[in-house]
Amino acid sequence: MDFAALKDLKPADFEDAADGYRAVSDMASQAKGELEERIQVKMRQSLEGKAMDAALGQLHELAKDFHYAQVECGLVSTALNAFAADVRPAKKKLDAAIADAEAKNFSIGADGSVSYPAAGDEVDGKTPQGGSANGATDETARAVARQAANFAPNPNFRPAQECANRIAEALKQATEVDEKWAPQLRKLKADDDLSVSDADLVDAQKDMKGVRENAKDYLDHIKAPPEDGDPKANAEWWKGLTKQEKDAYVSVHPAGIGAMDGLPAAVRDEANRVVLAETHGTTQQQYEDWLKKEPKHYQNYLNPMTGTEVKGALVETEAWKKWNAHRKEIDDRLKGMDNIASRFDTSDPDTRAYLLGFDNDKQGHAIVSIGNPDTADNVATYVPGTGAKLSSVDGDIKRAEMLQQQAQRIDPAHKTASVLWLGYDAPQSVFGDATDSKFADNAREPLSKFLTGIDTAHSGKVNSTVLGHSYGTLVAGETMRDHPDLPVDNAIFVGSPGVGVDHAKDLHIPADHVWSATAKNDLINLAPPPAGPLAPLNPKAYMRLFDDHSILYGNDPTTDDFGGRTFEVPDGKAPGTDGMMPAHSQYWDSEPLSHMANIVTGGHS
Amino acid sequence: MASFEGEWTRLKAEASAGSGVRLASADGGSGGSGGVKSKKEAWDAAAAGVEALAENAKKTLTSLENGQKGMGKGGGPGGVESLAAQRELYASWKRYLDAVRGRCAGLKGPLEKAGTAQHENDAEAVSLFQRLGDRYKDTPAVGGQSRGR
Repeated sequence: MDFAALKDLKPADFEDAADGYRAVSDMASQAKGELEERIQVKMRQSLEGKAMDAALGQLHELAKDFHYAQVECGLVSTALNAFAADVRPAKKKLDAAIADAEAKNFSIGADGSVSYPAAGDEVDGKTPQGGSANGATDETARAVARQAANFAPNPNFRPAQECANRIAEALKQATEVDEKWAPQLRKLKADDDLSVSDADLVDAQKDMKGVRENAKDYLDHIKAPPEDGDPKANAEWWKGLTKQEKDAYVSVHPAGIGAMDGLPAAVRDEANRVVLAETHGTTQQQYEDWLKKEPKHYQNYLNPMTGTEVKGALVETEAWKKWNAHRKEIDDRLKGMDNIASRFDTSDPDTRAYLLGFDNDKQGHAIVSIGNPDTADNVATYVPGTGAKLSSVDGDIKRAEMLQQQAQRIDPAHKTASVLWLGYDAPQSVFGDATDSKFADNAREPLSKFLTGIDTAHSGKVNSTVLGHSYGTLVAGETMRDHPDLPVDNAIFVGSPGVGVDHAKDLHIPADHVWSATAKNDLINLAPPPAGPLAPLNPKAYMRLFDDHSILYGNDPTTDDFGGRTFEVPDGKAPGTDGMMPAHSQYWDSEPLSHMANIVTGGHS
Repeated sequence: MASFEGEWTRLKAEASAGSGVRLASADGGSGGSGGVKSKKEAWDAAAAGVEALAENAKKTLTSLENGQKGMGKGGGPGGVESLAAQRELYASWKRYLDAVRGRCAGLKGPLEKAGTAQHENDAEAVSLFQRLGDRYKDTPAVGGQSRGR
């Protein structure tokens, strides 16, 4: 970048351009919402048939176009603002140097050299003549110039040299910024077609990473979010940002913003939807790549006795079975993501889904609220138990939906939001992992932050209930045990293996706000007690369990010793009649559901 | 701005005012027998919805253009390379937005037609949308890269 270019450059012009792209991003976000939450929903409500399906298909594609524009133009806007911020110090330096030069009657050449007039004490009867100084940015060249200035008879030489140095420095800085951003900007060019493929979404994710890295200085300058993730500090930080700064953060850090407890639900939802769409794109591509790697499906069957081939008999190869298991795993996760996305298609503000957390790490995580928790009178947070994961998220969201519906029916005067909080790594097997408390230990911090965030982001007073099922009761119980100030009003434990305390009062809410139920036929009653005389390998231990109130993690919360309250649930199906533990999953049947909805809406069971 | 919501309200008012047609909408009416329910108003509302989106896209194109005032010059040898890059960016997004706007506008006709054609022939309405879909096939290029990935 030469002198004239930097002199003419106006950082504010880039900011104006950034505003234009931001307007596009905002419009696209709104259009996408309009398509998904209104136009398509109303069509589905009023129409049916193949023509409608075909039309919806096209509208869905259109929504993807808008999504792509929303994400990419948001990034362009952030990139242009970051460029302006990055180049501004160089520009200021140049402007100051120009002003100094003018004050001293120096003139600046096209190459940035500074010419100065004749001045100083006469030497041999002549005023030392004027000259020109070339700026230098490296130390050696500067030292040489300083030396020269010491001997120069014209007093203008030294300030002219300094001025030229500052100009050279400004040009160097600005050129570095320019060289960093020009290629990044070119990467943000729009796709040449309107079909938003998975590859396009993966590309958008790469763009996001690129802008994030390049805009680091700019974003750091804005003010970094609090490090410890305290919901109140998060909320304060967010409130302190300008709209432009907020937009920039959401554009380049959607995952970070989406996961930030204490921020408004609408903000987190918007950010997480971007993460969901892009994760879906990446995963879909992964899936297609995997399909190409299918190994040989069948091999000839060898008679194990004789070792000879059995004619016409084929068996699946081990390699294929392994491949297929992984294929199914990816496919199931995609279905889980689809199941979450399907919740966005509603026009009813009371049952609108808010995606308050999402990632595909480990077994995958999702936090979905049915209804807006920031404005609801009651918020129920359901912590699922053993086996919870992204690929089976549908059933857990359904439970949250059922509770929301029931609560709304019982108490139509108040709004209830119902959250599925799959924000931890749940154990995946009942008799293995679920006997280990480490999963709950790791979940205590995130759950406490989430529940505190619900209170922080809420506009007024919220009646908050945490509902644990199975291993999720241990997560909820331990979280309450370890956070005496947790803003939770009621607790419900169903099918609990113990909640990590022996007495309800240890949960730091009034004991009559702690509710438990376990179906008679729920095998969780038989969860093996801690090692020792009641070790799982001792069959007699199970007999004693019927008299002993201690179960896996402290006293059974449904017993008198625990000191909380209980509500009635049907006995449930006998073990083995419908899957291994049918009664463990019957707490969302109508009778227990009504009890739970009563508790959630502030009444009694 | 003729928002979809506004359009919908207007249509509902019209419907209840006397045309005798009842909208099967969020109000709960579904009715209908057989597989295909022709609800011209619902189709028309969707058509009005995409038309509003096209208008918004067009307005935003103006905002985008207004932001370009200081970005026209510079970027040659010795100039600001980011200015040149931004102009390429602008050209690509202008084209993209224009295409999206066109896609919205292009959907309007078929949506309206489906409202009338559907009674006669559902399959014909399907083909209207399919033909639209054929226009927008993905190319291997992704944004910001001319070829390959």
